[in-house]
Amino acid sequence: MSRSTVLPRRLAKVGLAAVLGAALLATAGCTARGGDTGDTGDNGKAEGTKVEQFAIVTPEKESDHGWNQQGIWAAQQVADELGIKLDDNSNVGYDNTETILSQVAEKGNDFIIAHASGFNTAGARVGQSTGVPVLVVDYDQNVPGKVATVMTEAQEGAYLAGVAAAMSTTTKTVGVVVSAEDLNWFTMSGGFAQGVYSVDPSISVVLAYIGPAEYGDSAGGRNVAAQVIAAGADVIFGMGDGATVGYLQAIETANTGYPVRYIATIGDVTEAVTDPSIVLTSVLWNFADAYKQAIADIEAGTFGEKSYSLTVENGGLTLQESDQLTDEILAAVEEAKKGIIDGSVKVEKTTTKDAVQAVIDAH
Amino acid sequence: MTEAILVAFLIGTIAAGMPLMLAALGETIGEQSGVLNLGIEGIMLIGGYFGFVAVLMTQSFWLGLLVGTLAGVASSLIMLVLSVWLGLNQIVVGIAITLAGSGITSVLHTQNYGSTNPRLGLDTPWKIPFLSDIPVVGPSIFSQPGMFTVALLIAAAVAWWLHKTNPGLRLRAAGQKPASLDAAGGSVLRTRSLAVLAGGAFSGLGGAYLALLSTGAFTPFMTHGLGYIAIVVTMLARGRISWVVVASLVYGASVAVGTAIQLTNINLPNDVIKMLPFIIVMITLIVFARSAYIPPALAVPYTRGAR
Repeated sequence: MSRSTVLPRRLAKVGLAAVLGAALLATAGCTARGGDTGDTGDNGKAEGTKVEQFAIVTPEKESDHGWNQQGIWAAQQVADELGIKLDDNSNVGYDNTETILSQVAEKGNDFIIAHASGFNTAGARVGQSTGVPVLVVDYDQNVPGKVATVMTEAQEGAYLAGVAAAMSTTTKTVGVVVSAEDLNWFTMSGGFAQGVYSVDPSISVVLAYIGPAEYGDSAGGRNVAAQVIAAGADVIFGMGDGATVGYLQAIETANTGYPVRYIATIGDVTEAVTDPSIVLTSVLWNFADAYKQAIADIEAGTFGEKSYSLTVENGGLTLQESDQLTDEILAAVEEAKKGIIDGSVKVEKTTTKDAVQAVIDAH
Repeated sequence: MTEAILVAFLIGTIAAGMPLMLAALGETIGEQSGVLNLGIEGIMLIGGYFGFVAVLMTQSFWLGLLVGTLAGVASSLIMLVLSVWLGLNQIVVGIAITLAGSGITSVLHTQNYGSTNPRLGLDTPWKIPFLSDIPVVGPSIFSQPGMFTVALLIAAAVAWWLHKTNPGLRLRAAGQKPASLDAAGGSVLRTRSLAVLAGGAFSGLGGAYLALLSTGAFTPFMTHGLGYIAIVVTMLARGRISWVVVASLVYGASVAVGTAIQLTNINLPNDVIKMLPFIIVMITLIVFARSAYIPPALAVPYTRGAR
């Protein structure tokens, strides 16, 4: 092959490479929306950005009467209060999360709530790669201007539920049914047991798991809850997403001769039960204030400099009102709440299965 | 362990074991005829969903079980046409049925009942006179919904039919030496077709039992691999229905014992508890695998005259 034919080909290759490189750079520039959302710059300090539209991304629909419901409701409440637009991306599942979050970032949202612990890694990556601030849950590190996390002191709310359960039980046995080995479930189980023992240390707390990750196992939920009820529990503290359907079936069909009550977690299940009187209460997780503060921080340019907490003190964790909560129970719950706020009641945060079991075994 | 816990344990054993037994009965019929149906998981979900809808609409558990059975038959038509008639790969078709059944029922449930998650309550139990008064076993085994007794009778009937009748012999011949059945004047295609439909019926009934009687509700993907366990049980049972019944109840017991262990404060990792049924099935397989018998023509499409 002669030099005269090789040279033009080389030039063509170099030209093609240059064009491709330029195109890639241009694409990258389009993808990163950092310019108008407060690019952090070298010192990581973000500039404020007006939030006119924000998105929530949840793995399931709000009909779970729990985690997804509370997140979506809180986001809608904040959108209504602040008069900004909400882009609701619910029921996206757990697959291809990073792609989905990236697409949500490209839809003109100024802020994204990645509402699932399973979205943490992807959410943090998308926040950093796109420049759109992302709020994740239970994550271990914030990135100024880009990533912040919501932490829940779940044991505090569960402690209040434990007080209510202890004052309601007639069999002196209460049950905890858990669908999975989940950090929040551990902290809530331990907090609940501590609340029960604070009222009466002689009450027996019966704890059973469906499995390591059986969030949606309704058949298993019914089976396990039925056996816990058979063990004498007349108040069931249940944690479980789809497994909750099984818990409720077990409670509604229990043939015990005495009423069996249910304490729900995170969301409101009163619309999901045939007889609302079986629901003693629910430990509600209220995300609205955390979302509002996150938006305020984005606009002030301080997003990602701190985490947001749900606690009993800031109203992030409350017990749902119910006719089953008598004045006596409400007074005891209020007393416990004051103790948590003023620090006279210390609720141990049990973050492992063994830690939960240790609390129970100690009694 | 108190009497109440023992009663709950036995009820849990039956609740977990009976859907498996029905599904494994269906798979046994199919495999004995030479058809490997890996779609059993999806068929169970279809049977469970449509049975659930029928009970919601009519309040009749028996009608729900019937609808679940018919839904199982309808969904097995895919296997019938694609694998038995057209000779497509049974494994591929079976996996497709499982994926389709899982997806379709999930979409339908989410669309129609996702916001309400209705439950069905309890079917009226058949209390067997005198026996239902016996402590522990009375309120558990002898106070079950009528379908429990019917399912055991069905298992006995299938055992007799499979091994003591000419149609049963033809069915097994279709799985062992289909050319011989063909030469003797039997129709391999017809035999296998009926076996696939019967297998679908039992799988659908198993799914309906799981949703209507074991759970009292339907939730997406609620079988959690039970269909695949049914295939293992079928392989293990080698066509013996009594083994299907025993293996299914052993599985059910190993599921229920997980909670019982926790209630006795024995601190085992949840992973171990969850694996227990599978470990027991695997140990049994290891012990008996050498004598496991698979019909020689299993999963092999039959073509007359082909060598």
